[in-house]
Amino acid sequence: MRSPLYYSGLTALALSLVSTPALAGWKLIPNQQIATVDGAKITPITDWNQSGTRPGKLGRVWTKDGMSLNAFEVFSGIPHGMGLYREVNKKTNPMPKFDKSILLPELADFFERSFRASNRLSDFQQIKAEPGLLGGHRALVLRYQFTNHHDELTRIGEARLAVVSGKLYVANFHAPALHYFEDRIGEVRTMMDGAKF
Amino acid sequence: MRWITAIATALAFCGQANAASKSKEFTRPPFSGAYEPAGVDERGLWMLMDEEERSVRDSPTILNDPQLRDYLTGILCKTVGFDRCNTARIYIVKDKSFNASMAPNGFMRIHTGLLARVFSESELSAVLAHEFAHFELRHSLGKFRNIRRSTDVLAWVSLAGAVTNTNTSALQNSIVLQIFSYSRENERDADLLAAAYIRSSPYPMHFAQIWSRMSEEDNANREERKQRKISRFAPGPTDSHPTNAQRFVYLAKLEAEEGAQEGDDGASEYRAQTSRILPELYSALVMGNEFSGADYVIRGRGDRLGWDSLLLTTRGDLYRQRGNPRDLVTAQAFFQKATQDEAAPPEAWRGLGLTSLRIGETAVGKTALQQYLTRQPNAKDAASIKMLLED
Repeated sequence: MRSPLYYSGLTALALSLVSTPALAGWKLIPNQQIATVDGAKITPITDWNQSGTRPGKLGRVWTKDGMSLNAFEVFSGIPHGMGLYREVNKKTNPMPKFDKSILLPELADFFERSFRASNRLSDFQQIKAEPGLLGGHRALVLRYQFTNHHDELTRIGEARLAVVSGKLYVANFHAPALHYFEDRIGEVRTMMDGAKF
Repeated sequence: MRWITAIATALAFCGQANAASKSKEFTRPPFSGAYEPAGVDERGLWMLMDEEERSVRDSPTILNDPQLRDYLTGILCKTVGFDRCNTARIYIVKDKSFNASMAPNGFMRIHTGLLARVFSESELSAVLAHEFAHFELRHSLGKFRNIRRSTDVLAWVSLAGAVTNTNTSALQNSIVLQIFSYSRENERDADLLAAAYIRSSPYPMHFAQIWSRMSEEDNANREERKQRKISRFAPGPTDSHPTNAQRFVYLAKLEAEEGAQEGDDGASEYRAQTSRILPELYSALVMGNEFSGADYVIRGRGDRLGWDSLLLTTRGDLYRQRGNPRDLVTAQAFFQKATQDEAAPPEAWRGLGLTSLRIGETAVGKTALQQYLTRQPNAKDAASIKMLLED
């Protein structure tokens, strides 16, 4: 009869083999070090993990516990005519394109349409849209709520959207309303305040 | 017992679809109520669906509007009879797609996208009756058993082929395709039983036009995406439903029969009941990036039920979101028309203000946005609109 330690060793080995390919797609973003995310510079307060998969052509996503529990997205310098997120299905669910003539309050609608298309959402509500700052630039701060059909969990998000020299800059954080959003939003707001473009 | 009678009646009905549908004397099968599932398969299905219903009931994707739910239940009751409709529990799902479903244990899901695309009680009654017919005919159970039987046969055929070194792929394909064919038969049976329910209800039969509109909406989207339009009559081998064109033809034939158009279609009541929640019904469509399809649906409601300020605002928002210079002009016209109504939603002034500013009519835009804030001082975007006014 083998000892329990033997089986735990085997399990650990099996898990490490299984998780190796997944780790390959992630990069550690160490705390207190300036991270360059395309055209933006962000200083995280704690360690984050950057996914190797981009949410959009000019975007990156960071997470602490997995994207379904907390996701911090940064998009920098989206030019006129480009979509915010990656096309999910260009033919049946096309991504709206950024228009540099859009007014600040309308950025909320643009974000909603993009986010809905990217996540195939039917349930999305804007809670509050008010002026604020993103990296020192005038921005729209949008608080929203949505539900994915596959897990039916209520999630809350906060996005800051700014148009600088005709290009769109977005920092967006979303997490389940239960615990995860409030747990990280303070740190995320500090990162948004300190972002540089 | 209820089921045996129901199935016997339905099979007799389906077998002689034309003969039965021509008869105006359709009698609903007797109904005893409080049915309990029989047999291990049915009990298992019900158990799964009971669990599913608990999750749906508490889901944030459900539109919790008791008034609307009662209204829909009332339409179902008028259509299938007050005795049997009490077996159904209706849940309104926030989903932009045109869909409804009924589980074998009697819970029915109706998407907001369906409510946005039908324009009268009679049209809605057709869809509800169709779903109820699936329930009454126990199609879920039949499908489950058919799939299990077919996949069992498939496994044996595959094994026999391997043992005898014979190519059985053609036979295997035909077994798989039979599953889809069975599903199409179920849909057609449910359509025909639904038609019979409607004939014995106070509603006129308005079923076929729903499918012709679905085809037109699909083609509007295809045209926008520069895709080939589809107007198939024969279904593909893996289609789970008859084609829209096919359904239109056999349902239009039933609708043309004598007496099928008698009764009040309940369009004005439907308009009144759904106008109250119009933004809930159309917001996902307006924000859904399928401009032509959404415009087709909104236009359909306007042409059928009349253009009120709420619907004009919805259409204005659709054009404003696309935001081509020509769209902004069109949107502005919709908002202007909407704001002529004193009772228009505050969003009509918001839309007028934003489009006017983008067109370059600053004074008009700022006045409209002031109006928006006066009418809705606590609007969710009030602070950002104020900032725009201060620029």
